Amino acid sequence: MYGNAFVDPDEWKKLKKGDKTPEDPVKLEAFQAKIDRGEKIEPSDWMPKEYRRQLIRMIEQHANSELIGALPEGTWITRAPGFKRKMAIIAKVQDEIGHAQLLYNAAESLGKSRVAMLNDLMSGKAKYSNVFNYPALTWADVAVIGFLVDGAAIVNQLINSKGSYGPYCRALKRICAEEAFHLKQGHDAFVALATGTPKQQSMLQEALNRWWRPLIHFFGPSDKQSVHGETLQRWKVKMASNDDMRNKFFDQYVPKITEVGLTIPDPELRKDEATGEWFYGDPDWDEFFRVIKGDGPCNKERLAVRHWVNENHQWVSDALLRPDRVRMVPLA
Amino acid sequence: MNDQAARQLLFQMADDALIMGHRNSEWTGIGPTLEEDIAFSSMAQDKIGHAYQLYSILHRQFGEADVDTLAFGRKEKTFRSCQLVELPIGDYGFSLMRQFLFDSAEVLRYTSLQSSALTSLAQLAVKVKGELRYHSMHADVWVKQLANGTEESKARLQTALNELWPYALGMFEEGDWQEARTTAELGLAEGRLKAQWLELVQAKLKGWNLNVPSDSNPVEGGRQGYHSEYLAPLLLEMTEVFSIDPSASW
Amino acid sequence: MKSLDPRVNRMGAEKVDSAAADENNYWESFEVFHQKKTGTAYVHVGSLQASDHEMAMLLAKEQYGRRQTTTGLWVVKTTNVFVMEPDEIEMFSTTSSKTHREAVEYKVRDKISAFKEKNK
Repeated sequence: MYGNAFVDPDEWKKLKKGDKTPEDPVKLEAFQAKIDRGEKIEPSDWMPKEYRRQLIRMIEQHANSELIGALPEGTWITRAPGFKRKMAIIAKVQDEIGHAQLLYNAAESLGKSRVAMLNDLMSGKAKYSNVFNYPALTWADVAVIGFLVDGAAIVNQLINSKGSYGPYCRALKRICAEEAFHLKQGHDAFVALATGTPKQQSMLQEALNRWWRPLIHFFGPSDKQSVHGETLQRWKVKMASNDDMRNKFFDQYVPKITEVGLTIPDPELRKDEATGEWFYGDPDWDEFFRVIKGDGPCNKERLAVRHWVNENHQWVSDALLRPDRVRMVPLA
Repeated sequence: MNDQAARQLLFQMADDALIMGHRNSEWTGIGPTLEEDIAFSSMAQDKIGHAYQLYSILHRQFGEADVDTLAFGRKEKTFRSCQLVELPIGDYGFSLMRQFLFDSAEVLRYTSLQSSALTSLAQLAVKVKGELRYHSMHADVWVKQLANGTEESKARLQTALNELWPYALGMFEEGDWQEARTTAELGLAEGRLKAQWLELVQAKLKGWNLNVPSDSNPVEGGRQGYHSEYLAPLLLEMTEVFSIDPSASW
Repeated sequence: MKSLDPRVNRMGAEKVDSAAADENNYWESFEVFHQKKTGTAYVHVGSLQASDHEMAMLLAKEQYGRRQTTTGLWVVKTTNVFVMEPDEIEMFSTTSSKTHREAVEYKVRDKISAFKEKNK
C-alpha cells in the first residue's frame, strides 16, 4: 500500500515534441478540474505529457538563467568597491546559485536529471534568458543588473509563483523572498551612483543605455495573439502574457529610473493614461532572435565557462561516487 | 598590553581574513557543485566579515582610518597578510587544502584570544567561534573524503599539500613587536600556536593517509610587508573601482 | 577569448566542446528538514545532492540554513522517504462528518449553566 515516491528518472526522455498521442479524457478532465479549483499538481500526480514537457522546459530554462545569471555580475565580484558592496555582491551571486539549485530540483522532480540538464545547457540545446548574454562593462552595469534585471525577474517570478506546479511554486516562493534583498541592494547601488559624482552619474546613464534594449527583450516578443499559449494558460503554466508583464515592469520601474535624474534611452516610450498601456520604440526583435540562436556578445563566453566548470570539477564529483548510490528523483 | 603589538596582530589577522575571503570568493558561481558553491561562498563572506570587524577595532580603538580605506586604500607594502592567503585559487583541491591549513590555525588563534586583555578582540573571538567551527568542519570533511576518493583526487590533494606546506608554516612568522606577545594578553605567541597547529594538522592528515612534507623552510615575509608576486595584482584588481574615486560613495 | 571577468581570464576558459558529463555519475538525493525555533516541528524545505550523510548535512547547513534562523536540521536520503500514492489520498474522504472528533461538538458550558440555574 505504501510505495516509495517514484517518478521515472527517464520519464522526460519519452516526451517528444509535438507528440499527439491523445491523453485519457477522464484523467485530463480531473486534472483540469483540480487546477481550476486552485489546487497544486505534485510530482507523482498524473499529468498530461505536454504539461510535463512544457514545465521541464520552463523550469529548466529558469534554472539555467540563474546559473548563467551569476556570470555577468560575477564579472565584478573581485572588484566591488568597499566592504558593503563586496559582501553584497558575493551574497547576491551566491543566492543565484542557490536559486538554480532549488529550480533544478523542481525540474528534476518531473524526471529530468540535473546532470542531463547541465549537459543540455553546455551543448546549447537548452536555453537561458537572453539578457545574460550581454556584458557588464563597468561597475555601473552591476547596479543596473541588480536593480532592473532583478526587478524584471521579480515581476515574472511573482506571477509564476501562482502557477499550478507545486514544487515550482515552493521554489519561487523562497526565491521571491530572497529577491527582496537583491532588489534592495540593487536599488541602493543604483541610487548611490545616480546621486553620486558626475563621473558616477555618467557611468550609470551609459550602463542604462546599454541595458535598456535587453530589458525590453527580457519579457519576450509580443504574444497577445498567440493561440499556442491558450492551453498553457488554462493549465496555469503560463500565467501572464509577455506584454502584460512588460507593462507591469514599466509601471513599476520607469518612475524609479526617472526620479533620480536618468534618461530612458527611448524617445518613443510613453504611457497611455486612459488604457494604462505603455508604448515603446522598436527594440529590434531581430537582435533578440539572433542572440537566442547564439550570436550575442557573450553567448560563447558563458558556455565556455560552463564547459570549464564541467571539465575542471569532474574529478571532484567522480571521487565521491558511492557504489551503493540509488538514483532517486528529489521530492523537492 | 602593548599597543603596537595589538596593532600588528590586528593588521595581520584582518589582512589574512580579507585576502583569504577575497580569494575564496573567486569560486562563487563556478564551484564544483551547486551546493558546495553556496557553502564555500558563505565562508568567503564570513572571512571578509571578520576582516571588517578587525579593521573596525583598529579604526575605533587605535585611531586608524575607516574600514574601507584600510582595506581598499593601502599600499601593498603595508599589508601584513601571510603569503599563504595570497596564492591564486589553483584547482578546487588546492583551495580546500588551503582552507584546511588556514582554518585549523584560525580556530586555535581565536580560541586563545577569547581571554585576550583587548576585550573587543576577545568578544570577537567568542562571536566568530561558530563560523570558524563550520569552516574547519567543512575543510575536514572535504579533505578527508577527497583524500580517500579516487587515485586522482588523492594525488591532487597530496600535490596541493606539498605546495602549500611551506606557505602554511609561514603563517606563524614572527612579525614586529613579537617580544611583546609572550604574555597571553594577545593570545598565544606565534611559536606556541605553530606547535599546537602542527600537532593538530599532522594527526588529521596522517589519519586521512596524506603525507606531511618534512624539512620544509617556511615561506615568510608577509608579516613584515614582503609579499608574493600575487598580492600586488590582487590589490590592484580589488581596488579597481574604489580607486576611480576613493572619496565617492559607491 | 579575452573576458571582462578577470577570473575567467585566469581560468583560461576557451573550449566549448568538453565532453558531456556521464549521466550515471550522480550524487545521491537527500531531503532536508528544518527547524526554525526550538519546540516547533521540523519542516521539509527541499532537496540536495551529496556524496553521503555527512556531506549532506554540511551542504544543507548553507543552502537551507543561511537565510533563516535555524535551531535544527535533519537530512535523510530521498530513497528512505516513503510516501502515499496520489490515488490513495481518496482514503481521507469520509462518509459522515466526524464532528465527534472536534472540540466545538462538546458544549458542556450549556449544561453547567442550566444545572447552576436549576440549583440556585
